Amino acid sequence: MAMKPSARPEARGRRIRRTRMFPLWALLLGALVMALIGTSPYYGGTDSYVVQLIGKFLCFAIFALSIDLIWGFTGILSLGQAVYFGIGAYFVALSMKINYTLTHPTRYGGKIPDFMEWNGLTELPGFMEPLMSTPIAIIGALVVPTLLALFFGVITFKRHIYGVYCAVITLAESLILQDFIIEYQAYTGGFNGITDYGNIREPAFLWFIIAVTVAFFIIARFLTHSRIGTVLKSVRDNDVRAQFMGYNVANYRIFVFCVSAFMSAAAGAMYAAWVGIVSFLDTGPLFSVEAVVWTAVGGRATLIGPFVGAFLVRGLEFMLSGSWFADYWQFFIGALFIAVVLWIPDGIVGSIGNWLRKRRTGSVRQIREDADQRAHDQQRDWEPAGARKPGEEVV
Amino acid sequence: MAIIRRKFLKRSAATLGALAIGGAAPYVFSRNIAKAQESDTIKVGILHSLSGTIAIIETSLHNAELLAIEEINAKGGVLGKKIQPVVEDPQSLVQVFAEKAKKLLLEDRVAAVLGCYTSASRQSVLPVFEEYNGLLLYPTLYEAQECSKNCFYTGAVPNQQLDDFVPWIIETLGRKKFYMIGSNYIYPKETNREVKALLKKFGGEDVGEEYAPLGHTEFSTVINNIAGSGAEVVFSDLVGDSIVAFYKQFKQFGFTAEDLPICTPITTEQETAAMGPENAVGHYTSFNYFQTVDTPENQSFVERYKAKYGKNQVTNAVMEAAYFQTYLLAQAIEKVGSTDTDALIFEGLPGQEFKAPQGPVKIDEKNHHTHLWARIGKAREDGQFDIVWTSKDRIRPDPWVDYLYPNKDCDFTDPKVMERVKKPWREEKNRSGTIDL
Repeated sequence: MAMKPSARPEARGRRIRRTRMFPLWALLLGALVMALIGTSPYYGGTDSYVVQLIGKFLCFAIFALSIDLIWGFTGILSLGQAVYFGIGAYFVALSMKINYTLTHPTRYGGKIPDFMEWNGLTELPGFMEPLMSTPIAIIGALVVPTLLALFFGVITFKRHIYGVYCAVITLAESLILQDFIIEYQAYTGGFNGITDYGNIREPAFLWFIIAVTVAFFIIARFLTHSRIGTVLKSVRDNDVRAQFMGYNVANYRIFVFCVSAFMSAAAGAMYAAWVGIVSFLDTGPLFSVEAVVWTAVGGRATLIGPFVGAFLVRGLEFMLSGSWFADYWQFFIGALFIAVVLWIPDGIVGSIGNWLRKRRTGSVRQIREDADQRAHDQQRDWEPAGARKPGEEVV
Repeated sequence: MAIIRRKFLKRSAATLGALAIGGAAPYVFSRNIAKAQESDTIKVGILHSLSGTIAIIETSLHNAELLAIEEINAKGGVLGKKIQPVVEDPQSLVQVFAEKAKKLLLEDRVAAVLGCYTSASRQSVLPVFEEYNGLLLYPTLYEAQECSKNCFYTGAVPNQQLDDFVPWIIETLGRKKFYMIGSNYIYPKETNREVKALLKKFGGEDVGEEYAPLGHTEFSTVINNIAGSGAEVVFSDLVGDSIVAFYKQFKQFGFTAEDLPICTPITTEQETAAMGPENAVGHYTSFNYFQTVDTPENQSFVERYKAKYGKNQVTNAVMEAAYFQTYLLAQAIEKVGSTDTDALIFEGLPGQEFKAPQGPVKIDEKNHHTHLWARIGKAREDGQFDIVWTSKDRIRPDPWVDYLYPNKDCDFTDPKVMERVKKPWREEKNRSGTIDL
């Protein structure tokens, strides 16, 4: 064995454990702080717009995390991830709207959603009746986007379409859905979107969003730090080599794409229930690009990065677009993006991580050696691709 | 041991720090609210997108409102206090409209909000205004069939733009066969429904109806259809970039305004400037205001607007509504002597009159909409409109026009409506003034 024995093995062991535990701890603390703010009486409970914003930002953060999984960890740049977010959101919003109008007559006095009425429908179309049941709507909101992602994943990744071409295809997917929503406005609300359907505002739902966020974070953490995660990263860094090693690169891509779509859909579903307004913009490419920017600002291929990015960028946008800065705020946001790209390409969290590691280990050379060492350690966790069990068929 | 203790100290310090931030934020926040309450200004929210897809038109509304506020303050303000505009940029995103509205109402405690442009944005903020009992003044022409307790509509509703326009086309222009083309969303659909009802009433004929997706810019098929339909006039409810593309392609196809005029309740000076005025020459627009309106109020409005925002600026109907609604609000606050929302809604604003650039306007006593003038303009070479017809008097707004909805009306003086809308929101969520006759 050519491995150089470590100078302080037990110290390294602890360090690795600490970097593993840290983000979860930070997230739990973040969740606690947010919950404290969220339920603080000074904000007037869930009536306050700050609480509303927190719930909304959490949904955005999950969405950014889902993009980080495919872009940061696997190297698939999708500009159509909002499709899955949007479909999830529309399922929930439509279901809530249909049920809401049963007890709250529209301005026309009818019992079906107002956008159906001004498009000449007199009763709920048959294919939308299942949406009256909440469980069906929730299942639809989660399953349909995942299946759609599976379908798109199969037709793109199985044909070895990735990189820029994949970005273009996902972009097209997003534009198609947008056009579809605007065109079939009798069923979707069209350009005006769906609004006024009595969104959920109990504090308990904010807790639910926080719980789901933590759950998704943990899932993402397990996924990226497992054997699958290592393969995903190798696909990102050099997919040809990964294929030579015997991995079915397409299947790994499809898998992570579906997981990401599921997360987006869940974020969209909670978003629709919490915010109470869904429009075609929530399915558009701009929204996906925004989430890519959040991820880049926070730090791609880190798990807290998307959270930091979403909260920071959206929070700054909200604060700056009011009062004195209303005319100029976009300059500040633009400057932030340029600064991130120029000086901290690893994003905020990534750069802090680099800095901490550098401070701890001293020099870049040492970091590299450390990384090599770690990679080597991890490689022993799982069998190399070449080592097959005797008798197993080699494909 | 030392290492563990240090780690423990670090972590607990970080935890305490985070908790301190979380705990302190509400106090900072509540102090802001307290400050807002004891200030000696009257806060008015301005909620128009300054960025995003509809920023161009909304910025002009924002400018017109700021101009009016500046003028009111220069004359001594309202109730001896200055009006303080609280500007928010909702970024052309409907969700942000709702959040910003909530912020303006709950944190800034504004007396009223001047804002919104699209129907989508209005519909997204209305539930917020209704729940927190705010006051919104909305300057855009829109499809009507709505009246909310918490909203005053100072833009035109279809009956004010169409009731005279359609008969005028049939009788004065002598053109009976209408081809309707519109963008595919609620406003054009509702407008065309009224046009069709009017055609039936005045002996016109509808020879075709088509809707293009919003932002659509390729109209050769549509123009071919028009050419083959035997239409004598094109009635267009296209909005935004589609207008520019349609007029240009219409001209390229060889149609002139003499052969086949385009009549529309939407195209303003803003669009004729954008498409190049030579493409619009001779086509007709029906509006309550044009920049060429010959009143002393309008001359001084245009002058002051250009002095403040630049010589090349044009004014249009929605801007004019944004401008005069600011004055109507100031007068209403002066009348009731406070910024109490219910007082403004039930006593201050109904019946309020103002000499607007388009002529004297008045808010209807019953239905929260505004009595406006009707005019028909013919586009000129310089992008302005020659006014070829003006109504004899301002026209009463009717959000539920009689010939389509004979058994509906909107009346906030009706005791049953009053009883309902004055109830707390938690007991009664219906804030509409619509009644069945």
